[in-house]
Amino acid sequence: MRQFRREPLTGVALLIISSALLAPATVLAHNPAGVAGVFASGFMHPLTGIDHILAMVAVGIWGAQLGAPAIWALPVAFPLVMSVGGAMGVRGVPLMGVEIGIAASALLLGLMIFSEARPPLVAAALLVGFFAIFHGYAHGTELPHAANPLAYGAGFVIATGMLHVSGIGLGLVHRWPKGARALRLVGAGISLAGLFLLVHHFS
Amino acid sequence: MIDKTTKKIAFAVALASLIALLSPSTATAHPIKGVGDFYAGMLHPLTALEFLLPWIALSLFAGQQGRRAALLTLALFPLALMSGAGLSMILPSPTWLSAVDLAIIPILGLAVASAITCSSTVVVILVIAVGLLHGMANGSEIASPMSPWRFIPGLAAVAILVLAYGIGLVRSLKKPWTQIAVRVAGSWIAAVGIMVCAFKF
Repeated sequence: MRQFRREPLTGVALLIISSALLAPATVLAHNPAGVAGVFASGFMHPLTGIDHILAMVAVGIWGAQLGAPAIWALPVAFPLVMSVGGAMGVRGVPLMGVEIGIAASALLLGLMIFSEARPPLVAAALLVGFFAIFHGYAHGTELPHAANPLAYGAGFVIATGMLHVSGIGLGLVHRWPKGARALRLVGAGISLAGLFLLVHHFS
Repeated sequence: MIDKTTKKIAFAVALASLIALLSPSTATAHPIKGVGDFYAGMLHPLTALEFLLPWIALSLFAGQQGRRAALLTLALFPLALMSGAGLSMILPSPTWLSAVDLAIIPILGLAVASAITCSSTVVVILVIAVGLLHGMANGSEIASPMSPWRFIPGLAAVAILVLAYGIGLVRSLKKPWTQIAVRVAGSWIAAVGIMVCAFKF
């Protein structure tokens, strides 16, 4: 218990997740206006799609499972790779099956957590980076329509980053045997949800 | 027990959210009416992300560089900013100014994300260049009834505040993961900059 108290990040992460889950319904009631409104619409973009939430939290959890250096490399590298996908979305570079790629990312990342896969760092980075392009693309296509692209971009990048932090926070329970088992269950859940979304796209 | 660093971070977060809460109402009126010219100078860069984001990045970058470079930044950036704003009073602002200011965002963000250490000379050149360019951009927004003698010192004052908070925050961080958190912030700023540059160019 004392060990748990020394890790305030876990509590913070749970708080962020719960507030993130509560937020969408309330925000839809507002008509975004001004810099703050544009920021909010960017911030809500990753949070209003369950596929984005699942995949981003999965990235964090997997990073925490892998431990150093992956736990630190992923949250620094992910936004940068995502911005490449975002730039493609902004420029209108055609990319096939964005929604399918995002659902597949939840499926596969969930499987990685469930199986506690430990590929070499480069392989893990390539897998996560590949999916980062799809996520960035989905957010980036909306950016040119925003009244203030900087505020919109800042909103969705920060929301994505906070989802990673939530995942890392949850993943910290990996240090306890029971926590590690619970994480595998979470991974299975994310994977099943990804599978459901994937089937949904094809049906 | 809450240690000192946590307290400082909590303070910084509280400050940032305060700024975020204040900005919506003021951002709609940009140049700001109803406040004195000095405060207009202070609010102008805070209400525009094209200045606030690179300033946050610059403060984190300076904090990563060590004591000497950080102090040089704190001293030189406001001076360069005032010189740039003064220049914009006599010279018309060049057409490429906003494009260059936008390109500064991913450059500074990437510098923070990579935690690159530069020599003092490089830091000084970078700080003076960014200061002059941002000074020109901010100075050219001074509308005719406003007094540049009050607006420009306001600009310098808020630059000192933003830099001091960022440098102080980074310099106070001791645990390894907190230094990674700074790099994560840099990568967020770089990501925003890259996408907006892709949109504008």
